[in-house]
Amino acid sequence: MLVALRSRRQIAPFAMHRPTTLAEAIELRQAPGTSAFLAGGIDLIDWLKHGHAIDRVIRLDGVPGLADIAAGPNLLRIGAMATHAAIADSAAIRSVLPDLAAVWQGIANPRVRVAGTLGGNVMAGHRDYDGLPALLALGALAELAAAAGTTLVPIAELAGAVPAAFAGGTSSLVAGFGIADPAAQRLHCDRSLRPALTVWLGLTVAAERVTALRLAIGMAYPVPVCVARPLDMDIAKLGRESACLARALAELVPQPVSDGRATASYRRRMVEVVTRRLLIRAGGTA
Amino acid sequence: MSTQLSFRVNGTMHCLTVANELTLADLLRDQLSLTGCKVGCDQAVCGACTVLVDGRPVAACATFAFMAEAADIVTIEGLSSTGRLDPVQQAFLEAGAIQCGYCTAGMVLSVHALLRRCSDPDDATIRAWLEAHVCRCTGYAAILDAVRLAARYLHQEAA
Repeated sequence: MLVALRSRRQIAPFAMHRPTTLAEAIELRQAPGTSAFLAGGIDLIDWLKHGHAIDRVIRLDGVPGLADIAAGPNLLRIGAMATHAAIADSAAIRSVLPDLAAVWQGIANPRVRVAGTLGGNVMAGHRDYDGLPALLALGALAELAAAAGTTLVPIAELAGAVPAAFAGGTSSLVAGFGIADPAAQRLHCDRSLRPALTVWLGLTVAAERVTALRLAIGMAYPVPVCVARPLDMDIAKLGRESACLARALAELVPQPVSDGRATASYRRRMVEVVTRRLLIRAGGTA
Repeated sequence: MSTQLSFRVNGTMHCLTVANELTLADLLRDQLSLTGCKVGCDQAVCGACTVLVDGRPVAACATFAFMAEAADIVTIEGLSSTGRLDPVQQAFLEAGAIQCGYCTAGMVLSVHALLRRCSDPDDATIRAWLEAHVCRCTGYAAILDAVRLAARYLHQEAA
């Protein structure tokens, strides 16, 4: 007998709500019963196909402003409902943080890019997804909307909470992401070793001097990790110092997992190798 | 639990009440008999279920039907008009880019969207775009030829 473990025919009936304000969306989330927010839908629909049942699906596409992207000198705000395609094509992002727009051209496939959102990508809690490590490398903030108001928290604080998001374990809503001083941020990534690992290097640069390094690793842990260190170095010297810096950063990362894709020791070694490549690249593209 | 929605498919308006849990793929296949929308992986990876929603390629298996409210949808059945194949369909036919055919409808629609967005794509762009599609017959070389041929046909049409 063939037993289907996963099928669109297994999606259980649910009530659908389309709030028009953040407050209404949060109220629906807090109402008795189980619920989930619907952004682009790709991960939620897949999750429901496994037979998980919820009482309510709360569409977020009726809430104004959630897909907005706004760039200012002090903050780049990307609404949680901004699609990958919108991020890649955004003139605002290109003007202040072109590295992000360039990297996002290659995220997922064209079908997923037009439907998938940055918020959905992060909140899906999938260890292979690129949203969280990219934001970690950029030192981003998450904008959490709750009944009591909106707060900004470091994205690293969100990283530990995302697996609970679908299951109804949170009563707040990630409304967007903020990247401070965006023109000073650089982002480089190497995704060539997927599905073993992805490596994301974020730099803060002021007057051609690197003042901070952040290294985020995806696919090698249950949740992406990020290590950071302050620095005061001419960006042109990054290449020359890449071996030392890469070794020092790789020593800071926790032990990766061993699984069918790669061993922990291979992943750890590759973190150092790829980080060195990224530092060389960053030093040459000041 | 259901939702009433209005949308256009291949130029025809439909007003239907659909179950909330119904996917767009099942709506098109089971209620509108548009079986050119195939379901392969059922998780937005293989590309067989691709349809155009407001001109953009969308995975119908990973889209709830209610998300198509007010949308303009084109399936493979609606691509040709007045008995004449779309240039992309013609190119796939002439280049022999069809083997078992299961992936073809999705690919043709995706390529149609690509060529509307970029009329002269280079090979890297074509390959990146086709990453969204899996052909288990692995006839990719002919498919690349077909895309280049389709681009030429569209240029000739425009000239």
